[in-house]
Amino acid sequence: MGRVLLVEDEELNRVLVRAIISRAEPPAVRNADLLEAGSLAAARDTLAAEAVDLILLDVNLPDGNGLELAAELTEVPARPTVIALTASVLPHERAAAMAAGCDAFLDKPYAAADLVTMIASHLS
Amino acid sequence: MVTLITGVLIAAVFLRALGGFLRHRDPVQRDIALIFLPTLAVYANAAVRELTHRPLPVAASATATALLLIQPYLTLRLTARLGRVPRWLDVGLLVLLLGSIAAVTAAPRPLSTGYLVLVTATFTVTEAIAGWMLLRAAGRRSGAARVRLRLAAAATYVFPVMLLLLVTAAARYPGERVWLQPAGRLVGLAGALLYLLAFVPPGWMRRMMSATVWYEATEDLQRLPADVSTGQIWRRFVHVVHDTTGTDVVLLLGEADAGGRLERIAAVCRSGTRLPHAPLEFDLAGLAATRQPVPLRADHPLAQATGARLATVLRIEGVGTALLLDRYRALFSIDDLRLTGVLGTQARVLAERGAVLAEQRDLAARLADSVAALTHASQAKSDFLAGMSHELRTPLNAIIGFSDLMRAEPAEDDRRSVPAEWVDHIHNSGRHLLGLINDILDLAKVEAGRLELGLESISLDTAVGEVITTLRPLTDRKGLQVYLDVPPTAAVRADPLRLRQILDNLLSNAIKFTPDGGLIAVTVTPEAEEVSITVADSGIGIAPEDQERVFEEFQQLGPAAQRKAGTGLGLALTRRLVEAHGGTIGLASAPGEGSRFTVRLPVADAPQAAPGGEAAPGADSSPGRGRVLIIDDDARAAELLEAYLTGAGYQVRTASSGEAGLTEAGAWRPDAILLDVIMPGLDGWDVIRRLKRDEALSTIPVFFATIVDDRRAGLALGATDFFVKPVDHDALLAQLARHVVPALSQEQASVLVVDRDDHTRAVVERQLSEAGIIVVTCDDGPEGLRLSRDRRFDLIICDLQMPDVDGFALLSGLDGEPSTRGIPVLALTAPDLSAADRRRLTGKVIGTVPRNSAAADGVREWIDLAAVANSLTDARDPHPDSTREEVE
Repeated sequence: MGRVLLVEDEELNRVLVRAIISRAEPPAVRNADLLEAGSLAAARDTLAAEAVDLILLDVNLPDGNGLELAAELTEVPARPTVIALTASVLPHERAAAMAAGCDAFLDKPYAAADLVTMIASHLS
Repeated sequence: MVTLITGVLIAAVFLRALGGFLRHRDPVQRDIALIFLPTLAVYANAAVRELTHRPLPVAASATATALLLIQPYLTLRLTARLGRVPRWLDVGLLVLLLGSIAAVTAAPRPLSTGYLVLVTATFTVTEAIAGWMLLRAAGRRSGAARVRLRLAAAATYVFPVMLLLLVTAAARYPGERVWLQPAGRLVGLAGALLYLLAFVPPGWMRRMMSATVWYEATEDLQRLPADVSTGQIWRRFVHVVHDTTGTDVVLLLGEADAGGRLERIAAVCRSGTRLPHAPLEFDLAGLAATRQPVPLRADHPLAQATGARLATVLRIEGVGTALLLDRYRALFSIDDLRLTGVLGTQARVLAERGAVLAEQRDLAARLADSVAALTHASQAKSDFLAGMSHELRTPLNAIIGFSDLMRAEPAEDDRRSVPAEWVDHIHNSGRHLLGLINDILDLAKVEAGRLELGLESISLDTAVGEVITTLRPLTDRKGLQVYLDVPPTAAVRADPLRLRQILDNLLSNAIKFTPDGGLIAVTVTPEAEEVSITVADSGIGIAPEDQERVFEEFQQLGPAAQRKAGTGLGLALTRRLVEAHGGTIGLASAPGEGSRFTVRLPVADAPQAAPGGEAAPGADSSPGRGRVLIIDDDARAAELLEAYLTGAGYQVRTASSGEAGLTEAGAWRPDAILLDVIMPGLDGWDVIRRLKRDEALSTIPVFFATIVDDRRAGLALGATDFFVKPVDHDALLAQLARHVVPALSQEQASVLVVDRDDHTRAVVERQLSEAGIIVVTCDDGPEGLRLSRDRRFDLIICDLQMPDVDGFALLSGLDGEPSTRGIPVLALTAPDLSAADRRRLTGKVIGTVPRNSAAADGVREWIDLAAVANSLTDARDPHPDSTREEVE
């Protein structure tokens, strides 16, 4: 059973991801454990306490840039896969995310099917 | 032979000096001539003696000797012109010399050794002093002048040697021919040569003597760095001139301006002299540029200002005038002037080069500035686009995401069953997106300078009240206390829609960032030129380092829950809107201590009275002014309008929805309708369409009173006028007075018909008279205006196309006179009334009738249909005159 951590400050987006995952076709995605964090601090707490396989990471967070978290994780031995979910899609923003060590990107707005496919490919 | 050559040389110097004196009346030249006169006399005697081989008469010889003895003193007098000679020395030497002359003249011949020693000693001492004076003068000078002064000094020293040799020969070996005599003559020749070179140097020698100093002075100027300023170049120039010529004061003046005032470019002076202070009002014309020193009278302003007694004026082309001022005369100053002229030309070239360089540097700096500004603007634009892209994608993500999920739900026939909250999410995100787009468009409008402000005088009491009313659900939900301190007379000059936006943004922010149960206070303080509006809250506050950022685009601060409710543009837009009104916005805040935004807007010219202030006692019972129906779902807004209109004497009913409004309009037949646009169910656009479709109701004038600023759409749908909330009550009352026909008593009703066509007038008159109305007619505008002022008419029917004063002029004439303003006017227009004219008539007349063959029928038809007809036949007011006074 995969564990997914969603780091996202906007309630509406968390509701959306929750709904997409719970209705996803691949069992691996549908049955994944979804943990949620609304800030960088909350995400760090969760990661300290729990092991996760995949992080869905928003970049603009109230207490900092999500990429900081991605950069910190590169030093962790068994690091989880990091997928950046962000509305910051300009080339330089993309380059910054890449440099921070994100494994994949999904631009907002994204199609539900794309999110499911991406999660599935990284959870399997 | 030697004597002859020496004599010729000395004669040359003498003649040259004499010529110079006669030409220029130069006292220095005169002195030089005088110095050489005795020597010339002595040599002339000797020459004559040699040629004739006979002794000269004693008188000639004695005169020559006496003159010769006076020669050192003459030399001393010359040097006294070059510098100060103490008076005691001058007088002492003179006495000594005169004494020796007397002694020698009286002494028996041949002279005894004692006499000779006395003469030689006196001569030598005086010459030595004169020579020393020349050497001292040479020390202050440079170039050719210095060399020439030194030569002259050397010659002055040489003459006593010659005398010594000759006298020794005469004393020790009288009558004999010894080596001393030719030696003395040779020394005399050398002295004469030296004098010649000093006083009449050949051109090549003069150039050679000047070359070094010219080179040095030029180099001195050229050593200035390339980026030197013009002022520095000229300062260096005057210093170089000062140093090389030994001039006491060097003053470089620019061209005189129109007032004769001279500009001082650069100046330098020696101790003992002063520099003149501004204003420099010297008459340079009096000091002609003769290239000769001109003596200054003691009372000349230049002399008084500087302490100098001599002035030399030198024109420097393209710059102005160099003034060389001296206390004492200078020998050989012609060389200095020539050098000064050349240096001036070089300095000018340098200055011109400097000016060109400075211009280039300035240009480069400006270019760099504009490049920086462009880069900055481009960066700002990129940042804005990045921010906008991000902000637009966020709500789109919810819209696309949830609609994606909806599509994935199983369909039953053509329907899908989806969670209701998804629909809400999509809807809310859509609204958010719309708000964002509106804000962006507004910002773009402000940025492009295309924001059109319809400035009006707006009561802040009303404006703040209306915004608070619309935000009431939010404040109620959070249990916020709202404290208002708004003086009823406070009014600003602003665009109603934009003022509403400003207040709405500030209050929405305050509500958003204030925790439940907190406090919000709006304080309005009128000042002389401005009105300050302060919106304070007891919210989370803003850290000092973030206080400037809150006014920037897409800079949202604070917790996510509060950030997401805004677009990140509100305060940026608010600031632009306030600034577009010529106002300012400021912020005072500290974390945890709430925020206080203060907007200052220009005060309105004439603050208007509070709505309640004008309410007449017992207004409710007065039916006189007419009936107004207010259709508005916002109870508080309707209440405000109602209070104001009943205060002004209208009968008012309100309807809280479009449907209810239509029903009420049909049943009550109001004289005017005030209509909101945004209402649940039938909105204002629907309501006016239905009203205008209903024959019975289509003539009722409809006024929009709404926050939607779409005047064009309103008027296109047939509205009489369009008011944006907060409504300018005075303007509304004026329009109502014009369009709502007061209830009239039938017996007293009177109508003025102004029409050029006899037939139309007759028909209209007949028809109205039949209805029991008093009719007055006339056939032109001026007469119509006169009649309308003589007597108060209840209605004026007027032809739009009259000669002289046409209908439009008549309308503005009526409007310009308090006694006739507000009288309802029905216009008879051309059948093909242009759109432009129709717009000009909008709001000015209560209706139009095409003026064709059936015009009279048209008028009757109109009167039958119109509210006028109702009023005319439905007399309710027994005292129309007293009512009308309130209209004005």
